[in-house]
Amino acid sequence: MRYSSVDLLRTVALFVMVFVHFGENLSGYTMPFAGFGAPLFALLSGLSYYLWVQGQRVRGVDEETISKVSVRRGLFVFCVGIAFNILVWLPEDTFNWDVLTLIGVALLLLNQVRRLPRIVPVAIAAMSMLISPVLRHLADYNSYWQNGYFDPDLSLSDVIIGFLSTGYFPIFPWITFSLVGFVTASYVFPSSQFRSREGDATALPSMIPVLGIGASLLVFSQFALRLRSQMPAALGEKFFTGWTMFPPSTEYVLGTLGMAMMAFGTLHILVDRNPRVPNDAAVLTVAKTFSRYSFTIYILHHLVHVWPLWMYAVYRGQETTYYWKQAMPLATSLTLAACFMAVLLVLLRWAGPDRRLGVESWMRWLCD
Amino acid sequence: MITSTEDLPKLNIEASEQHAVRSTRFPDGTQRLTVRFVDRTASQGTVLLEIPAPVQINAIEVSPDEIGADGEHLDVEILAVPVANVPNESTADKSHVLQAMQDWVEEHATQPTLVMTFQGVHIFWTTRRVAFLAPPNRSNSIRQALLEASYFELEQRRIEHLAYATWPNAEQDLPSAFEFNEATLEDKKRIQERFEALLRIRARLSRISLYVYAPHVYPPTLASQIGERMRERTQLAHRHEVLWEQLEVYNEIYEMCAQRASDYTLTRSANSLEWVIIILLLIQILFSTFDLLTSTGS
Repeated sequence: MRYSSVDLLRTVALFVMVFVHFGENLSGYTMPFAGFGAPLFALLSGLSYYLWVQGQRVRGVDEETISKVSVRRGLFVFCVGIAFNILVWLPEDTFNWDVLTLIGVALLLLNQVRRLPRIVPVAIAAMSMLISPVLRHLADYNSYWQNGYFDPDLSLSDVIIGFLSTGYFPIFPWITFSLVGFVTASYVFPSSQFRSREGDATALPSMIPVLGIGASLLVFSQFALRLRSQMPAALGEKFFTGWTMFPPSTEYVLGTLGMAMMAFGTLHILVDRNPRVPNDAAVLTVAKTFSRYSFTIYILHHLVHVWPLWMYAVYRGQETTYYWKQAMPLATSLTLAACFMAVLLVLLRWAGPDRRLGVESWMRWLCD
Repeated sequence: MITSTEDLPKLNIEASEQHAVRSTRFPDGTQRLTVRFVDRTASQGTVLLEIPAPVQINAIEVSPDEIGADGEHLDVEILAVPVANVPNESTADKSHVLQAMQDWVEEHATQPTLVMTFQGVHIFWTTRRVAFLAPPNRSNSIRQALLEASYFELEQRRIEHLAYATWPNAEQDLPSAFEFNEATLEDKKRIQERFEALLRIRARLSRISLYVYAPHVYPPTLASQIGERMRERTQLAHRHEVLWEQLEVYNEIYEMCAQRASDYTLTRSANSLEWVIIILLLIQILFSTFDLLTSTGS
């Protein structure tokens, strides 16, 4: 089941991700909008998982099969994430806990909570947010990060701590986004909507709660940012640590979660529920094309801009990461990012919507 | 004596002329009334018939323009032709009048016309129009009997319509009679509304039982016999019985749905609390494990 709002949001997240990564890895420049792509991806993983489950139910797939496929898909994404770390970031970064490993684990968890009362995922999401600063404090987060990069020892305890709390995308608090995405989708797209007979008029749920909660989270996050200096030391130094993505501070998580919810709610009203927006509008077609291959694009864009750096350095007899962040000026790297997206669009449009390409098709072949 | 439409002599007239014939053929003294069945409390105007409790409906006269103005009320048009005013009582003239009465009744009919000849009284009946030819001194009692019969037939028909419209809903809700889960929980309100609607239908049906299963009146009168014959001809008792059985099935489905929904909701509340406790315990375990890991880590 495809919703244009989801496609549009995922496309925005893809563009943010590609431009941020090209700029950062090739030119060492951090974009002002860095840190907005990953929350969107994580939220959409929960949202898309809910829609996928509903689609399976509509097709008459039984719950046990849905669970099996979910687990296989979760493990597939997790394993691809590990392989991606090894192949792209080289073996020493195998356990840096990238967004793919997070989404893989999120799928496994969502499969467990999908049939439970809505309060359960909400409670887990809330607790995840609350305990994350405590876990970081217990682990001494900064000791795992050297010069702004996650650099753990290859010991079992460090690997697990990195996975849970100190990695790039640790389970706590990032799992919050997937769970909130799932709960949001279960509210916005009630399952009765998928089961209703043709011609039945089903009342659409109000979007005010989604927009209201999103706005409240955003406002709360901004207040916390402003008032941090006036807070008690335990709260202002340990719990609210300013707007940072690494570590994902409480303000950052609340703020980006609120923004993502508001963006989804607004697009859902403006696009999905708007009968005047044609399904074949050019923007929506482009968004659908990118969204359909988001998993592939995530991996591919790393390969096309990171691998050449490693190869060129080896060719020039330098250390593998010698050119990382200093390969070219920012304008060139951003132009390359734009070219990459343009070429990709042409290729994907040329391939057509029916052809099964990329990692998504491997996942379906292996897991479904 | 009961006859069918085929027994009546047919007039060989053009369709275009029929209306004119109808409007001119009815003899003097013919009464045409438009009758609406309304709740006794909302009854205003000339009351032609009072149907007692548990139905408590009055038949009142309304202007012909009001007929069918709203779909809520049951309306009937009734034509009373006095038998003494039929010119010269010749067979040919009487046939013309009867044909005109039948044409008038069938003008908007979608069902076959019931035709009865009973102790010299001729009755043409459809769901919305009734015409009878009778001596003026019996006209009132016959009209009341026909109005009563019409009301109960219309009410039975309306309940049947509601019940048959319910069937697809019941089929849709059938799986919930066996199992209720998180997904079907969203349907709880809808199922509750349908259950209430079903109970309302059953209540309406039970209200007309008194008339449908009324024993024959002894000693019989012309009006009572007309009422009884009408019940027989419209198969009211049989239809009522079948409908009641069908509603029993619906009722069984929705009773099971209600039971499952109630069980599930109660269990769910208890489970939610248990889950919150489990989450808190897991967090406690996580903290302990984390503490252990950090103490052994580098």
